[in-house]
Amino acid sequence: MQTEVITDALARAYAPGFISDIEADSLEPGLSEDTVRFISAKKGEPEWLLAWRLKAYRLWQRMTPPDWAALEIPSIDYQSISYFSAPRKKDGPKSLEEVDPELLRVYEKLGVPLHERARLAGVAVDAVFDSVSVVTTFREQLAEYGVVFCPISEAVHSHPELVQRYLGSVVPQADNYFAALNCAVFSDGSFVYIPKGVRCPMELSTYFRINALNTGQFERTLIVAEEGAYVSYLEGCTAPMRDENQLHAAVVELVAHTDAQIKYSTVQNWYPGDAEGRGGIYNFVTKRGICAGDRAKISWTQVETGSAVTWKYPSCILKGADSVGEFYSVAISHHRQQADTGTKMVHIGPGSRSTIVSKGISAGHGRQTYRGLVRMEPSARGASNFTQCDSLLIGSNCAANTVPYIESRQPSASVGHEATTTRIRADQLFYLQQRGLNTEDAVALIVNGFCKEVLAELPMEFAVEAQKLLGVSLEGAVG
Amino acid sequence: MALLEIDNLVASIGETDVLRGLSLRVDASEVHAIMGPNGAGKSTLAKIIAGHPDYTVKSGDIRLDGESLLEKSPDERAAQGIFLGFQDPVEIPGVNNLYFLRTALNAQRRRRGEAEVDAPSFLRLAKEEAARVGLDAGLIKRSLNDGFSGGERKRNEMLQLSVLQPKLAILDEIDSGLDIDALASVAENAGRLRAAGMSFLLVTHYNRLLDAFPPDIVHVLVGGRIVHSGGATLAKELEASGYQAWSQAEPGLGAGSHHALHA
Amino acid sequence: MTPMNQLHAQREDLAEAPSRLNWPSKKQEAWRRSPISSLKERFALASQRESPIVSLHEHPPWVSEAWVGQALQATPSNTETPASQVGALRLLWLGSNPLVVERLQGADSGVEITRVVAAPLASQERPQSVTASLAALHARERLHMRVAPGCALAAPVELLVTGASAEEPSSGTHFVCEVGAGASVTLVERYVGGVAEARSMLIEFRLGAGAQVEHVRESSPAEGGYLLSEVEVSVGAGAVYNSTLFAREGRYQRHDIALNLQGEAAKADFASVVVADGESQAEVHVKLQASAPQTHSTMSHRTVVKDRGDVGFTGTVAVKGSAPGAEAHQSAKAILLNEGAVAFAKPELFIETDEVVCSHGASVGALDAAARFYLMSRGLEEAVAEGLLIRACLLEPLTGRTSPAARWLAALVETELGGDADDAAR
Repeated sequence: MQTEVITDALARAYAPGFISDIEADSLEPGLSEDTVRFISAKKGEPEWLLAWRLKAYRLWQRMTPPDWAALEIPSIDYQSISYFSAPRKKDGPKSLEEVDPELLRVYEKLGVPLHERARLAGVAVDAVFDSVSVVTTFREQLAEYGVVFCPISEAVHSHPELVQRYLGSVVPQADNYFAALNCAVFSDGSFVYIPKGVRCPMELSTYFRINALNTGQFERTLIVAEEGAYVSYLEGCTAPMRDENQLHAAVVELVAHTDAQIKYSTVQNWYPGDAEGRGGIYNFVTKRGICAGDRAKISWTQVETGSAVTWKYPSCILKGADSVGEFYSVAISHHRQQADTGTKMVHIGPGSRSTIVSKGISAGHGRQTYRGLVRMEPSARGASNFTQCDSLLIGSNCAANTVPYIESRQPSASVGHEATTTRIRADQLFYLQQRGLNTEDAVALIVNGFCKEVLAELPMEFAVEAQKLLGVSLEGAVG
Repeated sequence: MALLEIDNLVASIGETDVLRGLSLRVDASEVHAIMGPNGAGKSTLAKIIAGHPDYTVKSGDIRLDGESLLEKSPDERAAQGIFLGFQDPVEIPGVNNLYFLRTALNAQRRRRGEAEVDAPSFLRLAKEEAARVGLDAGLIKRSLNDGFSGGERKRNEMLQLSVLQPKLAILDEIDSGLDIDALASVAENAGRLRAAGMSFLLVTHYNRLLDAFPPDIVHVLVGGRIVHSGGATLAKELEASGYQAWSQAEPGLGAGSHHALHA
Repeated sequence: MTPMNQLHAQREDLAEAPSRLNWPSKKQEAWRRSPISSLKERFALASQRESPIVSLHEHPPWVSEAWVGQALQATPSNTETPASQVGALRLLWLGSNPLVVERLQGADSGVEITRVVAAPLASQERPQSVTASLAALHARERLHMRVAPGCALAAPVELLVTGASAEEPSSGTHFVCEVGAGASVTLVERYVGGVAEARSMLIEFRLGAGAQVEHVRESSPAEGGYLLSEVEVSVGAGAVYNSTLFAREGRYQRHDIALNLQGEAAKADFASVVVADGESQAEVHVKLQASAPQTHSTMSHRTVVKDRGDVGFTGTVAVKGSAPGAEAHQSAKAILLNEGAVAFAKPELFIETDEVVCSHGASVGALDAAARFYLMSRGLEEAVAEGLLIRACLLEPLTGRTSPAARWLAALVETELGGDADDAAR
């Protein structure tokens, strides 16, 4: 089966690059307090949330974009972006039947299992189109377990106490420039709540799609797992091919209480721009989880193949004793793509453990940076970390950087970091070709082998998709 | 028409000529051995037949079943029936050995317009062949050649040979790093494949393999040419006398005597 | 205006210079352990003195003979330097004044030493770090040593730097060493702080094609002393630069080392060994850049931190697109002996070509418990076992170094750890 996967992957172009003709309500470009008020009013938000947004907006105005990443980004005109775009509809769809059929076709093309296939795959899906969540499946079934899985705009009304308690509790408004912007103008996203002792019976999944022109997407995801709860959450992203750059600044917050586990997987395939670097998504994302209770566990897995620029550091605050943080990442930069990505593991709890496995692949003029912080606070007695950080270079014009930060204030804590830099060697390619594989297949095979430890962490459906993506992303990288 | 025909091949790497007018014919089910001193061009010949990109063919031709290989990529040559057993098979970390082999088999079959082999049948085949070549079941599940000993790598090459079933197997120093038992197993498997119609081109220094798997014809390769060809007994003579006699050989001698043998 | 007067005038002009220097912002220093700008006051120029320029063979007037003698005898016998053992060239730097103390026969041929008394800042053509600017500013003279092409100096040259007196709270050293093609030299650089001072040092090495340099460094500021040190090395084709730094004591020391592999097949081996205890803070920042093909480099950092000691390390390996075939290996290990001790490590790789072999490893933690148990199960007392493991960790990067100078440094580390110096020297 895997052969087919790789062969399929060799379809030439950025497959999700179509533009959908869907009627949308869009806000004129521009950002001011009025924009924030408009979004809040559109969602019928309570007063506290508007105040919260406005506070973030005012903080953002005084902040500057981070400049420490190894990225070259032209300055962004935040006034030329539209901060809200919604597919036109009368009321929110109550069920799939009420969803605009054109929209469903979009997800069909993307291979998102919204219909029967979703049931077969056992995946509950929340689909976010431009700025709003358009449909969430399997809500009734999940409700039987007490699991809440809904658009965050809805959770503000249905579970106000939870949202108010946790929103911004992991990523505060002033955390960084992009997070502050998100706090001010976030439009929608997913909310997940797993009650005490519940193991979520199916994978939860959100598909994000940016469609409208000149639109920024600012989604916000909040996942709370109560004591002893478990959830596996998947996130997929695509966008149409456009010559202009588009901005995506999301915030994801995870809260894992005592003995809870959250597994968060991302396959990020936003439009990367063309071979000359025209267009593509600016992907500035703040993802952070807190292991609030003892023995809590948060695991991030990401496959980053898309976006023109990626700035993203899914992190764990390991507060609980014996809590566990994991970060598994594959990131590809081909053509003119740039990625500065990694993680932060902040060890506070005694006996907390973390594992970081990062695989970076650079090809063409791609530029790839792993940036990771491991901090052992004085309280982290007996804590441990291991980091493996490998770079694969394809061609002589690409760049791979490894920038780990290790800080220890606790003698009984151990931190280990290993890194290698390799390339695809001519003798490896020849060996595979001699056995009958063409160049593209041979490259895909070597790259999949290089990323194996990370791909193994993905849920099955996503692993297949990820393997395809790796092949597609590296087409033409060799020879 | 012979299976493999090499006519007056001149090939170079960078500025240096490595083959200087080499000719050779191999028929179906024949076993040929190429012997010669270090640096004579034996391994080079093997790589050039398989299409290694480092070498440039300046003149002459290589044909398989009458069709020229020169314009073909290594994978196309593989699908057409060329197998090169490497002297030092590379390690490719993370790539599962069996998965790779099935990918290669089906890539070749697809190119030839044949039906692909499904996973269960492949697994059966691979296990059967692995047992034949004496490869530990644990090893066939590991990453491609990763952490294999020298002997295990050679057995793994033999496993790939038995599964891929090429028309011509070029084995480059397959006997180096093998103990007696492993050598016997290689010879036995090669004999079985030969009986089924496979041809062999053995590149070797020593008689160890040739004793166990006797060639039909032995060629002496010196200075980028075949300077002498003879029967299996030639290998014995070479062991005793070395290659001194040919080191000053006249140009053209090899090609002439070789053609004579096939005339 | 006489050249001397001109110089005086320039120095007047520069009296306020440290505060006008381009001090790095807090943000630029984000990951460094101690913001350098907080040291501005300490590095202010000493008040103007009479006759700041002295002859190469004379002491400055405010430095007594007795003081020179004291400085020379300050070193305990078990830290006798290679220079004093074999009698080579010794350059002494008291406060901000260079003197050649012993100039030995045999060392004369092929070695040329010049004083450069030109205004320190005027000569700067390129932007410099604050450390380099400070050193150039403070140093009353720059010593320029040239080793003629092909000259192989058998005995080491010693550069002994020490604080002059409490009257000169901040001082600087600027030393430039040009090593001609095919020449070889060993430089033993020792900073042994005599007084708690703020010292800045700038040492530049330029290695011609095929030159070989062994640079062995001891850095021990006085109690309460501050050191900012910068070493800039350019390595020509086929040249080899080996360096070992042993840093300990003082209130705060910062070492910036820039290794530029500029010629084809240039080679550099760098090792730093840092012991921090009490309130000592030390940081080592090594930046290696390969810009020519087929270079080779190793970088090792080892540290043991106890009490409230604090040690930071940044090792940067940058392989440019113009440097295919580069091989670079980096390793950093830190052992924390008690709570309150702090270690930071930042081993970075910046690779711009695919034809490289690069690796790095870093670890921070306590002593290896399994190894300690193994040793104790063989009958060693706990303290002995731990001592053995600490020694093994610190001396690991030095094991391959066979030169007498490197062995001397290893012995110094042994002594610091309370071990038997003779063992290491052997």
